[in-house]
Amino acid sequence: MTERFEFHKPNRALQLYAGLFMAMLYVPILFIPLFSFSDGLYIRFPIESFTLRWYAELFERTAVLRALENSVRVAVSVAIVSTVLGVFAAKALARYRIPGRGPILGFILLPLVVPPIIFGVALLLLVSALKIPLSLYTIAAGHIIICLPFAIATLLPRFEGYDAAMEEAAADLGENGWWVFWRVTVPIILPGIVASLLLTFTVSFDEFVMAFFLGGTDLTLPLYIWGQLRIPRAFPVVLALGTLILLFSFALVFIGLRIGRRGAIKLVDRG
Amino acid sequence: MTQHDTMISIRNVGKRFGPVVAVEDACFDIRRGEFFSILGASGSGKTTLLRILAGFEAATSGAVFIDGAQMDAVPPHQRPVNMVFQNYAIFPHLNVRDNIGFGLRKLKLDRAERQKRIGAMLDLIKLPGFGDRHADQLSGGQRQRVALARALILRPKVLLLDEPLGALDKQLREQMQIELRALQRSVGITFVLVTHDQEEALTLSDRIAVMADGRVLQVDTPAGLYERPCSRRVAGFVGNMNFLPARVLSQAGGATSIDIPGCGTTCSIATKRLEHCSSDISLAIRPERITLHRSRPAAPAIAVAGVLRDRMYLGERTHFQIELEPGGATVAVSSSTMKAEALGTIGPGAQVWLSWPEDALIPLGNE
Amino acid sequence: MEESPSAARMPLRNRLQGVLIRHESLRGFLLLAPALVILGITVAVPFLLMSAMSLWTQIGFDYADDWSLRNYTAILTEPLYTTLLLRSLTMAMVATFVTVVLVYPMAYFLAFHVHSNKLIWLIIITLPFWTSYLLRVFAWRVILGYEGVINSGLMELGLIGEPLQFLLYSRVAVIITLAHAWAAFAFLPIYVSLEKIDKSMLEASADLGEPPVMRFFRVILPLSMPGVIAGTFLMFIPTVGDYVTPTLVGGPDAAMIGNLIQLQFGTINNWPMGAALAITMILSITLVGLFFMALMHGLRRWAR
Ligand SMILES: Nc1ncnc2c1ncn2[C@@H]1O[C@H](COP(=O)(O)OP(=O)(O)O)[C@@H](O)[C@H]1O
Ligand SMILES: [Mg+2]
Repeated sequence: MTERFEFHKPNRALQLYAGLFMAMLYVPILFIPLFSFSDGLYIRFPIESFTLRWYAELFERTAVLRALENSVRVAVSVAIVSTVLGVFAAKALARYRIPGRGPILGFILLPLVVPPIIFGVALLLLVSALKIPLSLYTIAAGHIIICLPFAIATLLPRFEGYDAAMEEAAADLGENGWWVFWRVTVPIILPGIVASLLLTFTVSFDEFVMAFFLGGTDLTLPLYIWGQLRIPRAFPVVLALGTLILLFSFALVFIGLRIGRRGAIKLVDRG
Repeated sequence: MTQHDTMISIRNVGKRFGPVVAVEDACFDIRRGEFFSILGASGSGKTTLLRILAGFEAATSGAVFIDGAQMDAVPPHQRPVNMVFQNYAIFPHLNVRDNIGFGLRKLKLDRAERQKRIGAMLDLIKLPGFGDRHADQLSGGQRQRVALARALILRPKVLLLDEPLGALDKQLREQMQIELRALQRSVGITFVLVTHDQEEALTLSDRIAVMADGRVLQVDTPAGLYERPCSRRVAGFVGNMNFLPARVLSQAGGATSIDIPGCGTTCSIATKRLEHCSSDISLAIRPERITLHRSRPAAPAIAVAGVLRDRMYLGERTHFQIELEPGGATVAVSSSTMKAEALGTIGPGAQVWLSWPEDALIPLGNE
Repeated sequence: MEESPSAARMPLRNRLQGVLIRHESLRGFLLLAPALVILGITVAVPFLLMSAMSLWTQIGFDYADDWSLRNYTAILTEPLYTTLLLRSLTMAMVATFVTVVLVYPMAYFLAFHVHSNKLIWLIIITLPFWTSYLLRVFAWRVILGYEGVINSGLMELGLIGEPLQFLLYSRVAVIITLAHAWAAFAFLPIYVSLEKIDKSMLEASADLGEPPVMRFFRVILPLSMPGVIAGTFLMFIPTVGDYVTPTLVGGPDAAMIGNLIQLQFGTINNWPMGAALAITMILSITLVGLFFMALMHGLRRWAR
């Protein structure tokens, strides 16, 4: 019965299409690492010889290292803040009867679709109206808007995935809210927390538009790269830097998505 | 009953979820050391009432007292009760030992004392040597025991159990019923059990509260519920019951004469048993209180003729369906198989006679 | 509800506890409060400020809060603004349409023809989307550039003698880049809606002798329409306001509304106009969305 049905038979044309699709998705990105090893100053075929000198040069540029440090500082704070806020909010959304739950969730997830330029510009207006100088702090504030939906979308399925009776049982056995949280909630949702930290870290680390509008004189890595893009001679170094960033981001996100299981996948289903 | 005998006092408790009335005006007491059951169909509000006792839901109206103290503003973790949850809520990140010992943190016991208490609990639930097992390595029955041990180790004043045997198969369930009853006797703690299984409630409990649609219909002992149900719903819920429509004819002295149209006969009943009833009533009678005859019996004054429609052999007992009027309602009769066989081979279509002792008829008002 | 007489004498802490125990939604809001307050400060307040400022006028380095619709009148009448606005909407529309069409067969393949390791497939398909948008757009510049991968590759093969001029800095370049960068946004909802279709129902319809092509158009496509619509919105909305792609691969001919907004906050330094442009962009996205919904609704009625 099942053997007969066409969905269980391989479909050559579709398989071919899937192969092409995956190639189109990844090959363009792979040119960045490929040319980062090219000895020539210009990006073009044929690649005459390979070198690691662009990578070596990268580590001699103090501006790169400073931007890296700034990026890490922003991304770590953003990851922690948005994950902590996300844990509370996801718990509230999953566990309590909240009037207006739908609109509230919609409002929180809004930054997933609204162009970031809108939030960047709007926040810039507020910041300058309050005469707050642009800095890494204003960038971080902008990144929290973008990362909070990711944190909540990763954590919400975790909370919905286990029985609320676990927490009630702990309260019943004599623990107050604080201890219930540490002894039951946190251990059970730990994979979600780790996934949320990794994903929000990466999103903040790689974010450009918000940083562009809200950044001051301290640059993050994407801002540094943006500056270098005006100078074609600087491309090889940007390619080397880009390769490292992509490698690092892909690794973090892959681990995060694996740990977070279906968390990130469900997000669009809801939105 | 003195104040001292009362463990839990439920005073006019009501609970609404928006438009849904889950519990309405519940008002009864649970005695110290008793095995008390709350019996009702699914959705009747049993769990909600239990959760109000545990503190997970706040009553919309009324008050709950446990051991004399009002519980309104007492959060769950400060109440002297523990609960066995419907699906046991075993902590998935802890092993059996740490699950059972979860509540001991606050007692600040030293390691040896802690292990001793957990070991004693493992023995009590007959799972010695299971301490290092993980939650997902336990069968349904074992999880149920761990949940029990986890709650009992804190020696609560009251143990609340929400359908603790509902997830088990029939054989295991019957075995656990016996163990649960024995356990309650040995620890002497007040048990409040929620169940939709009337047999379970009748077997286990000292007293039972029957609930339907959020209301407590009757609180009584198993025998009291079985023999003196206060309404048609209770009578129908606890055991099997026949209902015969009847009408009050006249009243003379201590006896009231009643017409049972379906049987083409009248009978008389002590007037005091008819309190609260109007003139149209139902007479309830248990199938096993009816005796079956092949010919009109001489002894009881009242005997009703009928036609046998169906006969079911159930091992120790045999059930009959008897039609009193052609095309009318049937009456169920349950007789021991030994007596049924003494009647000889009667099959569907046979003419039979029914009789019953006078006190077998329970007059109930029509709701 | 009656207050118990002792309530008034209870210490405040206990009474607070009592209130929290009674009102579950209050506890929920307390937990939500930090997130909502932060989003209120960083999203809601700035948005109100932006709406207000869009009604002001820039005078030199200062604003006049004279509350006029002057900015909006300019946007709706001056060709510079209308051209860019319309161009952004059409380019986003084309990119979205292309992406949805290209992504659908892949989603279909994953939903119906992949039977193991679906999660890994999903992760691999969505992985690039999580990582640096800037670098992914930059990759296309490397590919499409005057001396880029395509041009130098083709010249190396002797297929062309001169680099192809139209590759970089064109609308086609922007559309290709947008399609590549946002594919995951269109993919996920379509995949989810296809995955939800009950496969035993499809087998039943096969038993009734319906040919596969008919089944696709009569059963699968209609059932996956909600996913297609969601994917369309999810991709269309953010691409209209994109800034990075038109800047890096678009050039002047393919500039979009995002570039114009940035200019108002940068070199042109007319913030009220920038605010008005941002608001206009949101309003026009909403209008197009409503129109699209009405169109879909009409199509469905007509199809019946
Ligand atoms: N958290 C809740 N929100 C809304 N309605 C509820 C909630 N809990 C219970 N109810 C409703 O209250 C009624 C009683 O439920 P419950 O106490 O669970 O019944 P039982 O345990 O007897 O099956 C049902 O109609 C149920 O739908
Ligand atoms: Mg229940």
